[in-house]
Amino acid sequence: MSHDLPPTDRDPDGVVDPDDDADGVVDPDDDVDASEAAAAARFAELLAQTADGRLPPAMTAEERGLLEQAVEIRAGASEAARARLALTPARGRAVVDRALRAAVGEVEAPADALAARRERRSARAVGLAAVAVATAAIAVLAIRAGGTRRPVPEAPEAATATAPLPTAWRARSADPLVGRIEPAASGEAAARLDVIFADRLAGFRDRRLTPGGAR
Amino acid sequence: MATSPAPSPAPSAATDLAALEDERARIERAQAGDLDAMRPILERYAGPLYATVILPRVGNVAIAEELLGDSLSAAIEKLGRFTWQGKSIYPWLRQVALNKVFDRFRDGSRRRRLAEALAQALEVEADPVAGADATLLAEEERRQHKARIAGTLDALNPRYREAIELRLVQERSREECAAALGVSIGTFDVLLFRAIRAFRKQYGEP
Repeated sequence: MSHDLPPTDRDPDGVVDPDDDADGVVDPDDDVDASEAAAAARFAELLAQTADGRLPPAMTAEERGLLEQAVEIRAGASEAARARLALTPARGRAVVDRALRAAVGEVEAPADALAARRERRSARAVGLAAVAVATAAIAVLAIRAGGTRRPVPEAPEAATATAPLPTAWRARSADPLVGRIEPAASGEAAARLDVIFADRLAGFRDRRLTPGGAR
Repeated sequence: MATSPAPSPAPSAATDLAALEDERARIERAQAGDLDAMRPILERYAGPLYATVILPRVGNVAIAEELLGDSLSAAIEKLGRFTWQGKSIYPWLRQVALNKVFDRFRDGSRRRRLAEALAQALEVEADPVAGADATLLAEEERRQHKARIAGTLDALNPRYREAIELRLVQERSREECAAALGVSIGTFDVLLFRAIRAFRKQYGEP
């Protein structure tokens, strides 16, 4: 019995490279249907919006492939685009700085960041599972011992629980930390976030880990 | 907004043997543990690596910056394996960056084939002077990309070639492109859409 399948666009084995366009090259004068005209209009808009080479996150695989091709042509053949797409000195310094800091362990290397996040997520999941098991065990013991234990007088609420937090501990401007953001440094958001995060972490440590909550 | 291009290795400074000696000394210091000694070298070569090695192979600014960062991190990590051979470190950095580009794409993918085709050994005579290697390599690489693009355009239907040249090389507006070709804007959009598809199919293939 034959099991020949009809032609399909699907790739059940995932072996077809989405970059490999199987469509034949059409003649410029071939008829245009409505869907192609719509796709071409959308692509024209995307192309106009991405003159700086930064592609929007949401688009089809074909649109991404064609836009990347357009960037390659622009970067390789257009002098004006080449200057526009070049790495600015500030951006170059930021990339170098991050690579050097990663090398001495001050920040994660770019390639390691995702893996590290995944590891932290896994570790968090293991920790939560352990807490859940421990809580369940305590609950079982409490229920079993419930009939023989005297009622415990309710403890007065801790004074710290009701003490209002200073506003600066709950919300404060990051302006003093990062200062005015010059246009040339607009791409260095990661470094600014690092500074803000370090400050907030220091505040948390002071309040929660220092005896008496020094801060 | 137009931005100023990254400085390419300046021949005036780079062709000075003192600059080559400085590069060698900095690399030795870095290999001895003072990694910050590499900073001026990396800052000098980040621009050419990005503009001529990475971006033309990936066509995506965000990915290109990410790969540049990965490449510099890998270079610092592997610096102990680098052996000074009396010429600039740039060719070695270029190879590290190329490897990162290859790693990005699956074996056999169109992108991988393209990146490998574009990475064919550059026939550049190594100049035993500091930045001359970088300058020559970057310029030669740029020239090869441009020639490959021109060759691919030549192989296309003339109307496709004209559409791409007008819109992407000369960077004229859609309206100007449509007027130059004597068609409506909608027709020009379709023409360019088909032209880039045709170019993409042809580009990088033997």
